[in-house]
Amino acid sequence: MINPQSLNSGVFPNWCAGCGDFSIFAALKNALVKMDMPVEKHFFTYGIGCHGHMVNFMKAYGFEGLHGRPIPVAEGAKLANRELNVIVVAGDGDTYGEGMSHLMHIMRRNFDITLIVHNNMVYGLTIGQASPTADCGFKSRSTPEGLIEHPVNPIALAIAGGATFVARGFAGDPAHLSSLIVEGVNHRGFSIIDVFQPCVTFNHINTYQ
Amino acid sequence: MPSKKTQWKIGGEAGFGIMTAGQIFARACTRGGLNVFGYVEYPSLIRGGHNTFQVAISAGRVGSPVKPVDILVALNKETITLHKDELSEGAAVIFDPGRMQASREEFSREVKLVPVPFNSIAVGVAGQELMANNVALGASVAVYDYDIELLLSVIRDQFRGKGEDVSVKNVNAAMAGYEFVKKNFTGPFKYELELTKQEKRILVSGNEAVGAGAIAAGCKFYAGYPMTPTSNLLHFMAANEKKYGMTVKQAEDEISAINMVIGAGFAGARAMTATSGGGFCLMAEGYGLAGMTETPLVIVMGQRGGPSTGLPTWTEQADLKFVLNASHGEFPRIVFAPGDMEDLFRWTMKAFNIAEKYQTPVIIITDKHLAESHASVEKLEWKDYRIERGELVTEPVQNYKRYEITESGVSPRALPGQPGNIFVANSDEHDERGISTEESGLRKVMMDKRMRKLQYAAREIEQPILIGPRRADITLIGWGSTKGAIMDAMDLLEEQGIKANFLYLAAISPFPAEAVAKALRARKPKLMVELNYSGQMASVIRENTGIEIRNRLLRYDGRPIYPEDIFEEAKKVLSR
Repeated sequence: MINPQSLNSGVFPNWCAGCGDFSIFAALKNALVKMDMPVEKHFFTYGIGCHGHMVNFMKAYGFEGLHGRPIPVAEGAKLANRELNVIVVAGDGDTYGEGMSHLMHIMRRNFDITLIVHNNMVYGLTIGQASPTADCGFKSRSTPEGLIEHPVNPIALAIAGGATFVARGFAGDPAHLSSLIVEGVNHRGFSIIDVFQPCVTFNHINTYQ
Repeated sequence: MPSKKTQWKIGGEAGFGIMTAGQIFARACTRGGLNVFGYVEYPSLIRGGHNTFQVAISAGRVGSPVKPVDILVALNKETITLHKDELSEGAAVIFDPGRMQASREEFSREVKLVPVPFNSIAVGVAGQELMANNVALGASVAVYDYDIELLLSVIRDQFRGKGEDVSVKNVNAAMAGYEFVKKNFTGPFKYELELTKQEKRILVSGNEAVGAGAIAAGCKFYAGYPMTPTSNLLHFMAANEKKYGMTVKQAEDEISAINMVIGAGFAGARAMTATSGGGFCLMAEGYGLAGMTETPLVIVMGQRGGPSTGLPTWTEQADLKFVLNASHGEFPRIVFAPGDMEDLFRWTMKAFNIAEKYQTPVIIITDKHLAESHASVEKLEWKDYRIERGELVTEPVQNYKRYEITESGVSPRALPGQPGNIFVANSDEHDERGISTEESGLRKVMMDKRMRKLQYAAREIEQPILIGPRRADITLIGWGSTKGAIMDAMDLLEEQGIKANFLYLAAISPFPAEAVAKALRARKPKLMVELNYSGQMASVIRENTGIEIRNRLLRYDGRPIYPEDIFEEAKKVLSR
C-alpha cells in the first residue's frame, strides 16, 4: 500500500513558493495512492524545465532525459516492459516546442502511456521566455514588444491528432487533477492531460485567478 | 599463394533488378564453395540512373572488388559505354542484340562478344520479358562453364515464396540462356569457374552480419529511422522480429529512435539503433544522455559520403573524428570499426556485452562499402559466445544506490519494475542515488567514476594486431572497410616478392595507443589507407602516439579503394 509520504524522496522541492508544480506533484501522488499498484510498477520519464526537478522529489522509478524527449524514452521502456505503468511528466516547451513531433506520433501509435503536461505558457527555468502556448501579445525577455505568434492549442491538437484520452486539468484544483490522472492511467491507450499551471515568478497574466 | 580471381559485372538502368541478379549470381558461386565479394553501385533514386553489381570470385581469399572485369553483362548500351575500359584482355560481353548494337571496334582490348537475345528467349520460355535477367545469368554460367544446377537451385530458393509457376518460369529462362550460349558459342573462355571442395559458404551483407550478431547477442529491441546505408539493417531486423521475439520500431526520426533505445535499454532489454552520419548528428545528444545515465545500448553508424546529404549511396570514412567526439561533454566513448563480415558479426556481439558490463553506449562504425556489399563467409559462429550482463541486480538491495562509487566505476544496475530498488536516473549531474547535484566535489567524483570504466573496458577489448609477417618491407594501416582491399593488396605485393603487413584497427576507442605505437615502431615504410580527405585515422594515431604517418592513400570520391590502388601506391612508397 502506497501512502503519499512514502512517495517523497526526502529531497524537499525547490520550486518557487506558490508554484503550480507543488499541486501537480501532490495530485500525482494522490493519484498513485488511489491506483493502489505496487510502487515499483510505476515508471516516470521527465522532461527538462522546472517540472523536471520532480525526478528528485518523487520516490518512484524515474528517468529525467533531454529537453523535449521524455516521450520516446517512455515509448522504449513501455515496449521493453509492458508491465510498467509509464507516465510522462513534461512541460509545454518539451511537448509543444522541442518535442512536438513525438507528441504527434505517440498519439497515432496510441501506446498505453499517460502524458501530463505542465502548461504554464512560459519558460520558467530559463528565466522567462515565451513558450509555444504563450498568448499572442505576451511580453517576455525574448518578446519585449509582445509575442506576434498565436499559441498552440493543445486540446484541439490532441483531438485532431487522434489521441484517445484528452483532458485539461488545472493546478489550482488538485483533487480534480488527481482524478483525471487516475482516469488517464486507467484508459487503455494514450492519454494526454494538459494542466494549466500558474508560474508565479514569470507569468503574471495566466494566474490562479 | 593466392589463387586467381575473376570478376563478373552486370549493369543496367535502376529498376532492372540488378541487385537481385547480382546476389543470385554471387550466391550460385558460394554454393560451389567459391569465395566472392559482391559490390553494388547505384544512384540515390528508384528508377532510371545507372546501377551495377560486380562479383569478384576466387577459390582463395577475396575481400574486395578488383579492377578488371572478365564478364560484363550489359542490360543496356550505357553499361558498355561506361565500363568498356574496365574489361580485361579476352573478356566477354554478354548483351541482347535486340536491345543494342555492339561491335569489337568499340573496345580498346580484344573482347569476346556474346550476343544473347535476353528478351525474346524470356518471352519464348516464360511468356514475359521480366525474366530476361535470368537468361543473362544462365548465359554467364555457360561462358564460365560453371555448374548450371547451382544457379538453378539459387533461383528456385529466391522465388520459392512466389509460387511454383513463377519459380519454374525463372528456372526455365536461366536454363534457356545457358543452352543458347552452349549451342551458339564455342571455344574456351579465359576463365573457368570450378567447384571447390571447400566447406559450404553463406553470402551475407554487412548489414546482415551486424543484424545476425545483434540477434545472437540477444538484442530484443531495435528502433531506427530509414537512412542509407543502414536501412537494410532495419529491414533485416523487422523481417526477423517475430522469429526471434524482438520489438522492432520505425521511429519518427533519429532523435526518437535513440531515445526509444535508451528507454528500452534502461528497462533492461538489449537494444540497438542504426543510422548514417546525418541521422547520427540528430542522435548525438541522446548518445551523451546514454553516457550520463549509464544506459547500455549499441549504435551502428554506417558512413556515407558527406557532408550534409552528400553522396547518399556511396562510401566514405569521413565520420571517424565526428564519432569519436560526438555529443558534448566527456563520457566513456567506446567505438569499434570492424573490417569484414565475420568481424562485424563478432564485434557486434561483443558490443552488447561491453555495453552492459560497462553500462554505456557502444558504437559500431561501418560504411556503405561494408554495409551493402555481400561477401561469402564460412560461417557465423556464436557457440562460444556468452551473454554477459555485468552487474545486474535481481534482488532487493539494502539502501540501494544506482550510481554507487566503485573501484571499476561500474555500479550495480537495477531495473524499473523490481521491488525494493527504486532509483532515478538523471541527465543532470547526480549523486549516487541519481539525485541532481551541482556540488563541485561530487561532480568530480562522479566524472571520475564514469571515466574510470574506460580503463577497465580497455583491458578486455582486443588489441590491434599486425596481420601478415612480423618483419615486412612495408606496413599498411587501415580501419573498417578497407581491410578487404588491403589484404587483397598484400597478396598482389607478395606475388612480386614484396612483404607487407597490415595494422588493422578495429577497436578505435579507447584507443590502443601502446599496441599501435609498438606495431609502428619499426623503421620501415608505412602507408595509411583510408577513405577521407584529411587522413583522419592518421591524425588520431598521431594524437595518441606521436607517430606521424606521412604516406597516405586517401580517396573521397565515394568509391572504395581497390587492391590495385594500394599495390601501386605501396610500390611508389617503396621506391622513394
